[in-house]
This record gives sequence, structure tokens and C-alpha cells, in this order.
Amino acid sequence: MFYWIIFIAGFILSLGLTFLVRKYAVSHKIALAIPRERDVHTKPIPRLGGVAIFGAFWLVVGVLLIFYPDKLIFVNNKIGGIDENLCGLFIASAIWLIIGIIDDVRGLPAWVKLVVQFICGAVIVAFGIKIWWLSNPAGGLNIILNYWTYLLVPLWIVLIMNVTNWLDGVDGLSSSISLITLLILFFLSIDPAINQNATAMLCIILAGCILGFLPANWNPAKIFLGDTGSGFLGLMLGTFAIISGAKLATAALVMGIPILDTLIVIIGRLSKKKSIFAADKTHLHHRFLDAGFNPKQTVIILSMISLTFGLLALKLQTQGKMTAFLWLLAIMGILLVGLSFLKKRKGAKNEGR
Amino acid sequence: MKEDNHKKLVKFVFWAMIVIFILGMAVFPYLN
Repeated sequence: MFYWIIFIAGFILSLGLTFLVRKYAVSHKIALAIPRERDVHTKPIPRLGGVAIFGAFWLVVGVLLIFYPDKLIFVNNKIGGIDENLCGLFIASAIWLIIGIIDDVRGLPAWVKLVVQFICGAVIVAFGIKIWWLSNPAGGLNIILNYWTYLLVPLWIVLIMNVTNWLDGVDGLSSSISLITLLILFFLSIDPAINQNATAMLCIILAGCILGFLPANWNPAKIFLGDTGSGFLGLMLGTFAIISGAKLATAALVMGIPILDTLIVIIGRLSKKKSIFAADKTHLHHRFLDAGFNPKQTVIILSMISLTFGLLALKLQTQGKMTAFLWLLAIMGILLVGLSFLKKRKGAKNEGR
Repeated sequence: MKEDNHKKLVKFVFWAMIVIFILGMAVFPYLN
């Protein structure tokens, strides 16, 4: 029941804040995304949706901290009476909020954003959110990370922040995949074998906030997440996957296709000797659109794949998850071949007209 | 006319995926 209340609180607050942010951005003509060649939208749309999600999420967390402080305890260390992990999460997300708003309003070079993403990852690890060990995929003893955690955590955070950012190329895609990931992490956290109630609280609050934002972000979008929102969601997802015990394999399975897509795009750009940040139309969602699917169909298909692997991750043990990763690779291969076939067929038909 | 055929094929692929997903969800609780 308590989970439902905070979920609905996040939903309502986010719905209201999204409306206000959109109204403000449109009336003041700030952070409007003017359509470019690689974009899917055709008219200027405000980009500051992330501000609404950020505001709604931290407002609910703040109220929870005032009235039920015992619900959000991750570690015993406290800073100013607030949980050390939660402080780190707030500071990192506030840093990203500032950079995200500057980027959405005025634009920033990709390298600056990358450096700030690493700083956010460093803040997370500095405030005690670490990966102490990983399950051994071959079975047997767990892999102890020791000092490697100080490198692995920022790298993981940067990866997920970029995945959610690059996913944000079709209306509602990044928010839908993030919503599914959060719900899966929520159900994993409330599993008696895992029992991470504080993590479950954060997951369900953010899920409510995204659901409140989604109607305005669904195709045709009235507002975008912007770099503020996509980065914030990536930061939160990356952190929720490691806070109070690693749930990396589960998060990586739900977001498997977007992660694989990110790696394929990076390899593709490097092989063409282009910058990995050189924007183009080679992402999986672009391939779906080129093949003839519309934005809604693209989001629904990719969400179904994420949900399937998320549910599998809830059911499987470590070795089973390794098999699921192989299935993920196979599905990615089938998608790439199938979409390329449909694109060629569409091109040939158009030429024949 | 030819592009209509392509649209039909894409629509068929989309609905086939939906059906596979629903069938998958239906048998999911019985998977070991």
C-alpha cells in the first residue's frame, strides 16, 4: 500500500510539473528543439522535461525523508542526518541538472558532458555506493572487486547515462525503457531473497514520475526529456542497479538491446574513424524508422523486448542470465538483419515507382 | 500501390511480434 501511495504521488507531481515546465519553456521560448535532419520531430518542442522529473522525484523523496526517515536507509553513515548514499545521489543528480539545463538551453561540447558524467560517477562512488563483488558467471566463488570498484562504478554510470541519452531519439523510447527497468528493479528489490526496501522505494517513486511524464512525451511528443532528463534517468538507473548490493546483470538484461546498440554504434563510428559523439542516424531506432515502422511501433517493440528480458532476469539465476545474454545477442542479430532487409525492400520499391 | 504492400508487410511483422509477445507472456509462468 505504501509503495502505491509514493508511486501515485510521484505520478501526480510529475504530471503537474511537466505541464508547468512545458508552458514556461514555450512561453519564454527557451530550450526549444528545432528540428534537424536526423530528428524525428518536425516542429520546435521544449526539451526541459528532465527538470519536471527531477523536481517531482526529489520532492517525493524529501517528503519521505521528513515523515518516514527510516524508509530510506542504505548505510549507517549519515551526513547532516541524511543517509550518505542518498546525499551522494542528490549531489550527483544536482550537478547533472545544472549541466543538463545549460546543455538544453545553450548547448555544450560532447567532451564537457562526458567529463561531467565521470564526475557524477566519481561522486556516487565517493559517497559509498560501490560494487563490492560480482557473481561469477561460471559458478563458484564471487569475484571480489576491491579497488577496481572506483573505476568500474564511474564507467558503469557513464555507460548507462549515454545509453538513455542515445535512446532518446524517438518520442517516449528512453522514458519507456527506463520505466520498465525501474519496475523490474523494484520487483527484484522487494523479493524476500534480495530485500532492499529502500532501493524499492526509490525505484517506484521514479517509475511514478516517469509515468506522469510519459503522456506528454509519447508520440507525437509535446516535450522531450532533453539531456537533463535522459542523463538524470541514466544516473538514477545506473545507481539503483548498484546501491545496497549489485543488481548489474538484471539491469544489463532489461537494457540489453539499448546497451548492445550503443556498443555497435561506438564500434561503427570508430571503424569509420569518426568521433564516437558524431551524431548520425545509425541507432537501432533509426533502423526501425528506416525500415518503415512508425515511432509508436518502434517504442512498443523495443519495450516488449526489454520487458521480456526483464521478466526472465527476475526468474533466472546467474548462469541462466548468461544464457539469456546469448539470446539477447541472437535477437539483436535477427533485428539487424530483418531491419536491413525491410529497409532494402522499401528502397527498391520506392525506386521501382 | 507497391509502397502499400511494404506498409502491409511492416504492419504484419509488428502484429506478429505482438502475438509472439502475448503468447510468451501466457506461457511465462510455466517456464522453469
